[in-house]
Amino acid sequence: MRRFLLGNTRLLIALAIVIALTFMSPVFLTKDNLLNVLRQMALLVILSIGMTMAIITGGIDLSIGSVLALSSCLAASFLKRGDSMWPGVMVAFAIGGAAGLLNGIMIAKVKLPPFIATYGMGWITRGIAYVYMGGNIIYGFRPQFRFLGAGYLMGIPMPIIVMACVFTAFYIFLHRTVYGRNIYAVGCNEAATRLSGVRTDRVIIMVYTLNGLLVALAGLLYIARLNAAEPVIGESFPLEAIAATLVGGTPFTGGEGGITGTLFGAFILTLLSNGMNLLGVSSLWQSAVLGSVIVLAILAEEVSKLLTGAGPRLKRISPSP
Amino acid sequence: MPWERDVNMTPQLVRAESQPSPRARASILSKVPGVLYAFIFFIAVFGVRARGFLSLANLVNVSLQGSILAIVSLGMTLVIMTGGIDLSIGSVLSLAGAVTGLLLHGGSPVPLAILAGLLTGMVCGAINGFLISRLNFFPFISTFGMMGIAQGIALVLTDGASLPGFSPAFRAIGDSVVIGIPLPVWIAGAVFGVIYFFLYKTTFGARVYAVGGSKQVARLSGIPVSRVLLSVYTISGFLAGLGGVVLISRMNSANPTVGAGYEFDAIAAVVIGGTPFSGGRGGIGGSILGAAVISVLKNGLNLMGLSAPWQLTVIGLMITAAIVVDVMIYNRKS
Amino acid sequence: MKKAMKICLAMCLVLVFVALGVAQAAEKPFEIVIILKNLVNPVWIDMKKGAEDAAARYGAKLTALAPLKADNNEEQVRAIEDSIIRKVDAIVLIPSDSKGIIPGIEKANKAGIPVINVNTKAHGGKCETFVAVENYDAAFKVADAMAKKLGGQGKVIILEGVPGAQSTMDLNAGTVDALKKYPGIKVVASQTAKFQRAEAMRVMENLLQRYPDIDAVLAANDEMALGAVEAIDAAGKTGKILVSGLDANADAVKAIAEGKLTMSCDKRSYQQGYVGVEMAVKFLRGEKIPERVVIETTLVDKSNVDQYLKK
Repeated sequence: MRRFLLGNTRLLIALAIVIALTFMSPVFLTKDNLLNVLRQMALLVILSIGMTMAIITGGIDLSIGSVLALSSCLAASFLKRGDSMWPGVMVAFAIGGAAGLLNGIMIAKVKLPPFIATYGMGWITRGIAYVYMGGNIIYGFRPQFRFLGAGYLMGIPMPIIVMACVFTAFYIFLHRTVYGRNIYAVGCNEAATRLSGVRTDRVIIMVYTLNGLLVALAGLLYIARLNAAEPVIGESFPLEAIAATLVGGTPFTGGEGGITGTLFGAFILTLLSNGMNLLGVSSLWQSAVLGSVIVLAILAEEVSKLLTGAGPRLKRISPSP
Repeated sequence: MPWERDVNMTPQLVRAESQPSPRARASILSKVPGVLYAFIFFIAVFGVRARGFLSLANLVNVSLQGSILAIVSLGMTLVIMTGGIDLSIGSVLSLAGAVTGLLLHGGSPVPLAILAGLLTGMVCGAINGFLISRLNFFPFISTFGMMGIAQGIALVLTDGASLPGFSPAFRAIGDSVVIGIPLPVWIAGAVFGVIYFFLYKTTFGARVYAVGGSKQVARLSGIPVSRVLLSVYTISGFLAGLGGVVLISRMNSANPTVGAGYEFDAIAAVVIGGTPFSGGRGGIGGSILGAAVISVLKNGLNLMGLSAPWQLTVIGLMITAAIVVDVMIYNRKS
Repeated sequence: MKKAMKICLAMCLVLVFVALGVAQAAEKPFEIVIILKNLVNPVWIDMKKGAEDAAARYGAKLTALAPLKADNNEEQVRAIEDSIIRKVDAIVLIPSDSKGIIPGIEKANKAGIPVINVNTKAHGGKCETFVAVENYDAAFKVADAMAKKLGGQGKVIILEGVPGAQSTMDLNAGTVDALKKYPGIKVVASQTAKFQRAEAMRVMENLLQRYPDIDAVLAANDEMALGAVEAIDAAGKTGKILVSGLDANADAVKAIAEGKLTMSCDKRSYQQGYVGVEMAVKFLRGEKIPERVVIETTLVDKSNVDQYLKK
């Protein structure tokens, strides 16, 4: 029992926040509000799944916010034309995929550090988005498209359904296929993985391309929900997705962790902002509260590791052959 | 993430991956070529195309504008050399400025207010260092948390408004000119000198490089890894505090969000300057050049009157191109 | 590898020169620089358009600068410093921090470059004129009209801008002061949505859980108002909750016509930019210009929305 409790700190933190909010706000534990929280976290979860994969390979993707802005802006302008929404959707995936592919090539082939490659990509794509939009905002999409973000299926908001599908697909991909195993292997030890015959460069390129596609999907959900596209969107997304991943227990060292933890990480972060709104926490305090909770979450995990005897991270990882 | 990654590799693999040359430690400009080319290239282009770029007045202007970035980049360099990162410096800079501004408004003497600002920075840095060195936090997450906390406190302290109008004595820090060079530039120079001394003339420097090379090897060879990390983050926080004091003096007002984004500029300056995230290599000379490249780019594009959206794109292309060239040169050499 | 490097370098060169081709220096006409808060919000884009049209009419050469980090005070000061080095003839300035911008204005004063202050008042330094749209007054006007529309009774939510920004403080003060006159109106929550539509939608969704029975939302700009409108629409409460914005941008006007948004306030951003440059040119020609030009703001609601739709 003790081991279980200490081994699932994230679950416990989420539970603790849920219980606290239930007592502090009468409207928190209602079906409507819970659906609301799930709907709000859908976007973050989709983005964080890609981020988690990048971090598992020992990388990072700082470009997701900007790529999301560019892909959704271009998609929006196509969505406004013609009779069908599909060209717009295709454009979004094409741009997301291309940006991800480029990131992957820069990292795997040109050997740029992931931080820098994706940071540069972020500047460039954001710049193009601004230039392309010329300061305008595109708004008012067809109902067929808006259904994706604002519609309901059997009483459940669409974003939640999309999130569930994406999560299931990637859970299977990561844990039941050889591709998933390779992603972990690259993160554990790239050189050894290469020596064992895996084309590690392809694995890395695949991860960033998938990430780009997920970003495009998130962008479509976003503009469908918001009913508008503008180049400024998503500036805080990279840090939010990284925070969700790390709070979820996937470390930067790579090779460990997974998207289940990330799901909890995103849940905790979304709960916090929902709770702060419900409790009427002053705008000025919000960033301080968020920062403190992130630190406390990780602190709780470290303490639990000490208690279960897993030991601090540095000592736990033994040198690989 | 590349930083900290070498932790789970044997020394041989570390060497195979990052190829530290024996000279890397000795030279402050260990990997300069790429960024130096970029620097010369930008100066040439702006010299031809941007009016007033190559004037003495602009040289003074751009060095003043770049001095704060240079100060915080020096702290960031040490952090990245140990294989870490400090995302909190922008917020800590704002917070230190807010604390100093509040004290000045409360009528406390200028030296005391400055000291308080510097101390604020140091404390934030020390908390980062403590979490990272003693509690094994990842640098990214600890400093990311601090980023939110410091920003929040700065907003709460100032009630979200900027504090304007300081005494001439305080404004002198950002405004005065000594022998034709603005004081902030002298301050950046002095910081460079002190860090240069510690990094290359004392055992502390060798330890920073060793910790960045491999924490395990460093620990096994008797280096007090925790203490090195603690001091590195404290220095970074202190320099962010110093940057905050200089910046609010220059702006003659303490805005609670003025430092936002400095962390990414500093990281870019360090990495363009040839200090890789893997840690254990690089040097502060490159970071100064990196800070200069970023400041010159912004200044030159303003002088040409390029509008903001284009500036974003051009800066992104330039930074990426500078690094790509750098990495290519590096790969070719090895 | 060598070849790849050469290609890379060549590409850099081409890109830079293409980019630089945009900014060609001209000789004779007045050179005016307009420094905006950012180029993210439609308000500033409209203002830039106005400024460009005025420059075209008076034969002046205009460049528009804005901080890359939206609303960053230091970058605005840098833009002034760089414009001084460029020896421009006049600076049209929209400060994002009324106090933090002062050192920049003082430097321009010292260099003898006239500064025309537009939209947000600078609290120091010497400006030739202030083309004023008081955010405080505009917010006051809207809040007052909304309170009247509510009959002086009800629960309202305020959506604030970016914490710490000058406009946030002015707009918030205007709204709060107007509502103070109506004791029957209770502000149940005042939260930031950072001037952004998406953020406002998220905040509003959360607030609607806690306060399902509110009567009105007062947003400090149209973007946030439209985000709130989406959230209210999704909750099926359109029409039951009044929503007001500020700026009267194109989307908002459309939403007013559709009945989703109750009212907004036209701050005439285009006009502000136009008049700012016009004043600069007149000053440079040696004409006398007034110390303060007031741009009238107009409430936009269902009654007069048609004339805005035509624009």
